[in-house]
Amino acid sequence: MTLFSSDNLDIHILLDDVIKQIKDLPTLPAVAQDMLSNLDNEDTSLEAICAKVAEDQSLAAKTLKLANSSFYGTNSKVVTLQQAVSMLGIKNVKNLIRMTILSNSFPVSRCRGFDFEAFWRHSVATAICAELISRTLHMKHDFAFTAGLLHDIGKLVLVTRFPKEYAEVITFQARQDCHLRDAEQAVLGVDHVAAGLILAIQWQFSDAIQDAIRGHHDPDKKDLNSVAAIVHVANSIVHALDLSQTKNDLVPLLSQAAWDTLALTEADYLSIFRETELRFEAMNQILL
Amino acid sequence: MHETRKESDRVVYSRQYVIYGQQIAWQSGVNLLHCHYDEITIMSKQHHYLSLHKVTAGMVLANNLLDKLGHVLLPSGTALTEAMLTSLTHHNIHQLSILIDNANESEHDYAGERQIKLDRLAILFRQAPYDPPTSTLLAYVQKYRSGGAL
Repeated sequence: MTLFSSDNLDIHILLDDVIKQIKDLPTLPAVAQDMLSNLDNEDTSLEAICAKVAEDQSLAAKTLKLANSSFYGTNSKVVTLQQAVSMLGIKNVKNLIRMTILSNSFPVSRCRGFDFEAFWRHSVATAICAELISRTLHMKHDFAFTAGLLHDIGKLVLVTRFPKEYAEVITFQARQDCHLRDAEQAVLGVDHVAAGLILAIQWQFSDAIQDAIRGHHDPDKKDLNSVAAIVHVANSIVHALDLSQTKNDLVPLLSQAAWDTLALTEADYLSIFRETELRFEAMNQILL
Repeated sequence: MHETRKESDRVVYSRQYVIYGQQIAWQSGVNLLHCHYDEITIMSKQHHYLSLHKVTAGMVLANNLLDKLGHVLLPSGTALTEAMLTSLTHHNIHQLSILIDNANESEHDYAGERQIKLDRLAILFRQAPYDPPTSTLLAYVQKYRSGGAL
């Protein structure tokens, strides 16, 4: 990164340090591993999902809350988990489980300037938007949601494992008014894409999710799953819709190739904007 | 067929939709009603139930008013007149669902809110000028925020 002076060299971290830190992270519970790596298996029965949800108090509460939210607009109150899960559908409940697992795996740590809530708002909104794009393209939705949810997971690795160093990244970004990834590279020498990829490999995320993490800033890379292009565009849309509500947010530049790959019309985009905002509003009330 | 369009027939739906009701024929004592709308699009209507004696002429029905058999006596969006109200008292009707008239106020808030969101775009896209497709995205979001998406 020649753009910025390297007066921060003293706090550069090594990729090896990141790898070591990730190895120290607690391994995901079996349920979580299954949920995040086994995206193609949609055969899980309603009962099995209910049983999984019931094991976790907070997850059960969220499921009921979502089922009773105005977005799903039922006339009568949803009381039991079985009702809630059958109403929301297995796909939505799985997504809810994924979101909960992730936020539990990275408890809020002290890093000056890093807004965890804004991070989650951005991740959830990108997940929703990516799912809507893939639905418009008649592709597999479940995939895109999880890819969108996980695309920035490397930021959590860096923030929770290197909070002091990451605070410098945030200061640097504010001063230079640059994109976070450029600030990470200038200050740490390691960016959230690299950190996220290491985590994805360590936690055995599926290839598609790995591609989404690797390619969400460079969707032009060769041999990437098309979900990378979807997450790339969804990421910029969500920044443009201001859904993370970060004061000095900046919309990342879009890749022409990714834009052309999706080949969506103006009308498609406008309806995706609207639907993303509506769904995000419903999710936001429950999760964050 | 429905040339007569009077300002008094104006019916306000939710925040953004103004719909012109056509020639409401009301024959006192007879449940005959012909009502046509150019377009009926209801986004989010807020309504409340009022007992009949509290309803005054000019208030707007939020939902279809049905008789016991499910026939529509008065469709949603009807601006009630004195004659209608008198007639309804003879039909064993005790309360009506009435649209909450905050159209003017909301419209004002809405314009302000919209402007704030448009101004915010200048900050989010502050590294202008952009090349396509980033500039295209900006144009779409501007259109969306200006209400072009509705």
